[in-house]
Amino acid sequence: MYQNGSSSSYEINTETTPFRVLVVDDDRILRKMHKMMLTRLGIEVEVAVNGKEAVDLHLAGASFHLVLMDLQMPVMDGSQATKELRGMGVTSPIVGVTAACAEKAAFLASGLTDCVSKPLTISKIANYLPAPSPNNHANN
Amino acid sequence: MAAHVSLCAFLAVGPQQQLQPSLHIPPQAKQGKVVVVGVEPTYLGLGKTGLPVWMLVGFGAERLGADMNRLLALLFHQGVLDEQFLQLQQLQDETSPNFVSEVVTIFFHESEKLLTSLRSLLMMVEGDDDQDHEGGLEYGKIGVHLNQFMGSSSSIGAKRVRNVCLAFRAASDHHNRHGCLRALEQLEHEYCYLKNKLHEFFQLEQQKVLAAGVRYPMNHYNNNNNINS
Repeated sequence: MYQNGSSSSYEINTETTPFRVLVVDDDRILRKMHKMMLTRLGIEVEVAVNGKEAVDLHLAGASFHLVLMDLQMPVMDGSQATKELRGMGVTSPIVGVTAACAEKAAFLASGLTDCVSKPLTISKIANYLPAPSPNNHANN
Repeated sequence: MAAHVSLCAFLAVGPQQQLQPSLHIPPQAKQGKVVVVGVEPTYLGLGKTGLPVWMLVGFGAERLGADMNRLLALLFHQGVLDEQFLQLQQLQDETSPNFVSEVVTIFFHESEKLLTSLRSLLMMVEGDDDQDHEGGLEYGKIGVHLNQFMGSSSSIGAKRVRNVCLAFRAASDHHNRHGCLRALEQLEHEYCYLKNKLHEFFQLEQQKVLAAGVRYPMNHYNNNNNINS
């Protein structure tokens, strides 16, 4: 189900499994925008308001093709959450999304696949999204 | 050949009034197959210009649309907004017709809380003292708030607000209280300007929706006022 955590592009078989993305951000605006951005492409989106919620989702058995992780969050920040997810054996791509450019290197070192700056756009994460196909809802 | 024309009789009678229910809409109209010639003049009357009202109301929506575009162009020219606002607009469609205003409303609420917190934190900082441990804590919290403000403002395309946040954060990183106070005043100013302009934009949008949103497919009236499909 998961691809390895490399930054190279890859394709996900969405014929049997819907492409699922977890958006982890404490900011209501960004959760709403990122969710809409991805939902418009036909992607299933779940949200978590902090790193702990993201970890708890995985502990409960949820799985995602892609995790978009904010850095600064209350309760558990993105770095800690990423470390815990990797420690749990989560190998799906985790892409950091942050406005704090100065902490990007440390964030990457926590186990991220990649780190992009806000504002998030589809082009910044296109490599981690399913390739459009005639049967893909993303073509709508 | 049937022609489809959308009318804005709404404006003719004022935004709070409604067309009389006696206006008959035949089944064909409800299917979208309507021949429109005009509006029953004895009811809707003529505008002050002497033109039929049904002609005027369409122009009103267009004029409002032009006003919206001019306002946006101004805000882009001033650097208040950037192309990210257009990205936000592209997320709005028929299934989420109020998406932009919903997001911007959340931005306003969150921003005002952040501005209040930033001012409170700055009041707690005694002075420009790098050795002040407690001051360092406040500056740390200021940095967190500013990162949040930067993230949300950049995501809606509020370019000048974001840029002031950057300068504010630089002052905060150096524990420069005076610099922070100046930046906070500038941030409050930029935020107020943005809020006022976006309120104006959404008011225009609402007026445009009111002007163009009521579509009464009209029927062809013959001399006897019989309604024909």
